[in-house]
Amino acid sequence: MNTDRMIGTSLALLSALLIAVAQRIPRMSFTRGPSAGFWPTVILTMMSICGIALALSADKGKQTHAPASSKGDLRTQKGALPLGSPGVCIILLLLYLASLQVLGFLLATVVFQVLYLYILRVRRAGPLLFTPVLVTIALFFFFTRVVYAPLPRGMGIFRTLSMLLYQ
Amino acid sequence: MSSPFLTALMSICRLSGLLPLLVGTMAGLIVGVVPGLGSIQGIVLLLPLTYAMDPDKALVMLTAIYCASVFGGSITAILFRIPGTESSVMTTIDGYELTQKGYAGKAIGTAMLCSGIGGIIGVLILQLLAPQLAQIALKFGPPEYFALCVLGLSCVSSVGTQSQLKAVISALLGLFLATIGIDPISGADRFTFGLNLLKSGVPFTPAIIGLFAISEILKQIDKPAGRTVGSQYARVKVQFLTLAELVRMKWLILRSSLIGTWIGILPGVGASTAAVIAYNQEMRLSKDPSKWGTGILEGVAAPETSNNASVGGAMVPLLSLGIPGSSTAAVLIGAFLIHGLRPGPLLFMTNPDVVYSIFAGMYMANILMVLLSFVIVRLVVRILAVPYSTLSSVIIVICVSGAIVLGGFSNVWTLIVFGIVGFFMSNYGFPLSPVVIALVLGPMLEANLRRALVMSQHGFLGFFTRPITAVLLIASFLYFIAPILNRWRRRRMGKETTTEA
Repeated sequence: MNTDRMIGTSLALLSALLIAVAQRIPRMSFTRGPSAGFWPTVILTMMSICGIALALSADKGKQTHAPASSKGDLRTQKGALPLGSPGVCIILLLLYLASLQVLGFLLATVVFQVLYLYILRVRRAGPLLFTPVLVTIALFFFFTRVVYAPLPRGMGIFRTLSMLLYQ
Repeated sequence: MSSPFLTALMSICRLSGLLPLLVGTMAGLIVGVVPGLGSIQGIVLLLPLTYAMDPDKALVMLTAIYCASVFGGSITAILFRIPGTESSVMTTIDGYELTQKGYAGKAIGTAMLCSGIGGIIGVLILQLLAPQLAQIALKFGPPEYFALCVLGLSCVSSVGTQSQLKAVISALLGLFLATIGIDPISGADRFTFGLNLLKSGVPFTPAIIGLFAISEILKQIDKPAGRTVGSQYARVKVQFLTLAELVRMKWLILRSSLIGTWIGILPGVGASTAAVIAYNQEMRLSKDPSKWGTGILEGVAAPETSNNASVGGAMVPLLSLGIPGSSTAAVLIGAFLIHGLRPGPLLFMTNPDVVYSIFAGMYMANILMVLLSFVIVRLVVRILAVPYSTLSSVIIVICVSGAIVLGGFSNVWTLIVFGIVGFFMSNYGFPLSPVVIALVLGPMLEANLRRALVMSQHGFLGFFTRPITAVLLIASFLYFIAPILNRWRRRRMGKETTTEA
């Protein structure tokens, strides 16, 4: 199935579903004029129509967009592998976010950067180890000592470790 | 120029006056560059330093932060596609494209010069016409605000995109996202699905940083290795517009300055809206609108002139009526009160020295901003020599820290989710700029539409009984439909030519 057709159909269906949600937004008795669901309904109706238009206009034999470049294509065109995989990077980002609350900003950020650089094929010790540590400490001190903004401190033993630097 | 103004200017040119101005301008540039920090945070951070200062010097320093922070965000917007402040969102569109083409220095130079000129024109209008303009602005009602937003949105079908349908879908997505959260009029929950973090709506700044910066990193990762940003742009040298270019853009700069100042005067509308409206307006007036969004100097000049001019505009209602024109101006009112001053019409009579010092300080801040930018740009450009793998890891961490600082951990999820969504959207040909434009204008558009409908006796038709609203709405419709008609006409002409052949 053509990608645009798939996106258009999904968009139309999702919009229809959200219109149903918008219809259930309660109308407050003390307000005059259009209800809180009025404007979202207008937008979602238009989005639904646009979704249908996209699905109908999608030509089966022709790709209207430049598809996400496959690694094979890049290897033949440029003679080089991609820097890394966006999929792996997205997973790493999600893991980083999940670990921030547990490990605290300092440790989670250093670990994230080391893994990220390793995935991006950085193997030299300098950039792989020292850069993450230096960047993390610099940011930590800037945000906590200059801007006085709290950064995640972690839980349990990690919190105790973070607190040493907060003092 | 009146003599009290010259006295104030002379006072600022002394070391005791110049120092707070320098500190304020530098601080403004720095908070502008760092994502997550902006003029409000800058003013709040330096406010304690001003307690022991004379009121005029203190307010000069704080207004300098306001002026410089609006420009500061453009440096990272142009170089890394990270809008340092909300007001530099539109600069990202053409600025980053210019960087990709190897014209980062020219883009930064254009932004610097145009910001300075826009800022100075804004202050000039503030100084000459503040009370009169403030009175006119107060006559702008919900229908006019609504029409202004529609005008801002009407260009979405032509901002650097191949498919107008996809651009419209992107804009609708942005408008929908802007409706999430508690309805500001009735207080009803909308699309929060029981999640507390959605109650206050989609946080704007993390969303745009995610859409632009994180999605860009994911895109770059998919490109061949061995490429470094540094190898392409390490020798970025700031280049101002040439005299010929400046002459070519004179009307663009003047129009954008006037638009920016006027939008700045309107209460509740800020520099980001000013940049959107100026960008769209200039794109429409351009001979070849299809070039906008592909990396042209005009695409940097228009939003930069306008957002800096809006600072002068925002000071108009503040100084002449005591009403804040923007959220930063609201914080400035606090600073006035701390120093025992009450902004408003009486301020011109009771403390003319303070008022004229602010005017003089703003002129000087706009000039200093351009000069000090060389230092900041030189520092930031050095970062570009770092390999992309290292640079991108640092950008991610800065974005994440900035998002946390802006409003807690939930902002980081917004940042990453929008980054991933932005990556897939660009991969499938959906432009990101309309989402951002709609996110900026969406809340204002809806609130004013509903207020206008409550006020109107004749429903939507009532909008056309107000001349300004009617003109703006008709112009919006024509602007929206024009690129679609043009494309249809070109396609038809192409078909006819093929048939004849």
